[in-house]
Amino acid sequence: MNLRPLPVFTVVFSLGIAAASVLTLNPVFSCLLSAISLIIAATLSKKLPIAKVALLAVVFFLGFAYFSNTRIQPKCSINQIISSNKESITVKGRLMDEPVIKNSRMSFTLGLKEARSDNLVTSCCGKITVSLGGYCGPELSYGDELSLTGNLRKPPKLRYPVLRVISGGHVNKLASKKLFNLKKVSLELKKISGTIISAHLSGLAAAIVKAMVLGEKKDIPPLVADSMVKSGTIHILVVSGFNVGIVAFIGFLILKLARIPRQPRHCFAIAITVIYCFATGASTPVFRAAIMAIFFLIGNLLKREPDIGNSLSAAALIILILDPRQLFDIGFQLSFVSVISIVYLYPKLKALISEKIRGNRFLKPFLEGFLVSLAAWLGTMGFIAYHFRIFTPVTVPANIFIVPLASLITLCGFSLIAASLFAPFLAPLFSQSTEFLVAVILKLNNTFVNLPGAYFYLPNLGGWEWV
Amino acid sequence: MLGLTQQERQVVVFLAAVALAGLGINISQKLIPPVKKFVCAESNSVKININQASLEDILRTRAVPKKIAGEIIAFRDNNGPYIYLEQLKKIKGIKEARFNKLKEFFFAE
Repeated sequence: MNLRPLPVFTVVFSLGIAAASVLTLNPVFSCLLSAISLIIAATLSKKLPIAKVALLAVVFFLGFAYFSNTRIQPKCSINQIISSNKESITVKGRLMDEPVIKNSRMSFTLGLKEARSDNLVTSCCGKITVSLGGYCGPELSYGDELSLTGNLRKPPKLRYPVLRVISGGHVNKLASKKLFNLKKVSLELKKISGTIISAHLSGLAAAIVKAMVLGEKKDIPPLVADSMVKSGTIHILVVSGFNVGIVAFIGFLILKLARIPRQPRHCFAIAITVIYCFATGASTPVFRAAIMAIFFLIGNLLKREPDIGNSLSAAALIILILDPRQLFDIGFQLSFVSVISIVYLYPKLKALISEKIRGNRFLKPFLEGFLVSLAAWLGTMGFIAYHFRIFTPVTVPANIFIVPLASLITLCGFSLIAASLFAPFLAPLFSQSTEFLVAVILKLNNTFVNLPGAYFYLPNLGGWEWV
Repeated sequence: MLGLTQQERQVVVFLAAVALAGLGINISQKLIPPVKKFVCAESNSVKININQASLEDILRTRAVPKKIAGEIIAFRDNNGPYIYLEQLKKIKGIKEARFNKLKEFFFAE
């Protein structure tokens, strides 16, 4: 039996995190248990079963301790300094991302340096989300240092406290730091690409293409998103592995055409993948796909065969080490469960179909699309029913038609950006095709949603009532 | 052909096909104007006509509370169909913020 240790370690590490969310145990104690297990694994290495169990215990308690540690707020954290909602607090900090404007309000994440409340100035750390209304000052961008006054709220379900600055409130840009790092370059490229898409497409088409290509969902009309949830095709509006694959492929191809040697070509392709990951906000699906693509490229460079189980596990482990709370995020769960379902269920479902049908040249693409959609749906329907309270029987047939169209739109979107940069006279032709495909996908989606029995809303049941 | 691999040829064919399709659509729109309705992604295709919206449709958007949703229906019943969406501002309780939210979901026709 060919065992892969990395998937096993990842699962055990995740179990440690899950256990820490339920049990209360001092992280120092769990570190101690991990250390004892390590000693046992090291000293009894000749007794294989005990050593194996001890090694798994090390990983389990490490996951436990690691998650428990993230729950402990440092003394300088804004959550420790400000224990409740505060009216009129002044904060100083740096913009951690590009501001997003929606419904005349600007929002961004601020990395804190200082907080002033009740005439008391305190150095602090941590992040807050800022919601700014009616801002007319100088343009704000990633890396700028600001001083803001507003009302601080701590909504229980949100990750960071929210500072609401009213229209006309105090906002002072202290410094504009000319950062030159990978994230800044990625965000600038994203801005340029967004401008190109908006210039060549209608409002609605531009919103959808920006979501698919750049991960910018703010302009998607709520009814479009709602309609796609009902048809089970909302995942096409999320930047995913397919997009990362296209970017890596395009980068690789351009470098190959430029006759760049093999080794630097692989390195540049990895860099391009990382830039795209940052540009699209490094969400879990993109991060997962980027790590898997990088593993594939490294494997290719080292002339080693890629293994999807290992690369998927490595992606999960890296994400959980960076932020163990991701384990409980629906995006993380759906992203990994869908890939695991496709990898493991698709071959089994394919084996159920007779060889005659499988071999038919005309049926093959539809059959493969159907089986991939079915495998992903079977794996994720439980999660979707629990989190979104919706059951969508129309998902599988809808995905057979909509996913290939969405893939075409994504390719056309990238082609439009490339054409605008290198052959602007061709851009209108690409924009017409893209606009048409978006119109078709919207009409098709509406048709599927309006079919009888397309979706059902489920009653609001608690956790155990689902069993 | 031209020293390109099969993959590179497929990319060139794809780009040429997209450009050709775009050209075809552009020409069709100029020669047959009604074609534009089918080839453009219209905002109204994803919004609800306020004159056909039921109380449940309005409530599901969570743009306004139940009382104001009722007022929207009552206004329509008493004064006839909405000609412009801006007429919603005449209803008590619908100011700029609520109107902007309603604009995301409805159109008037």
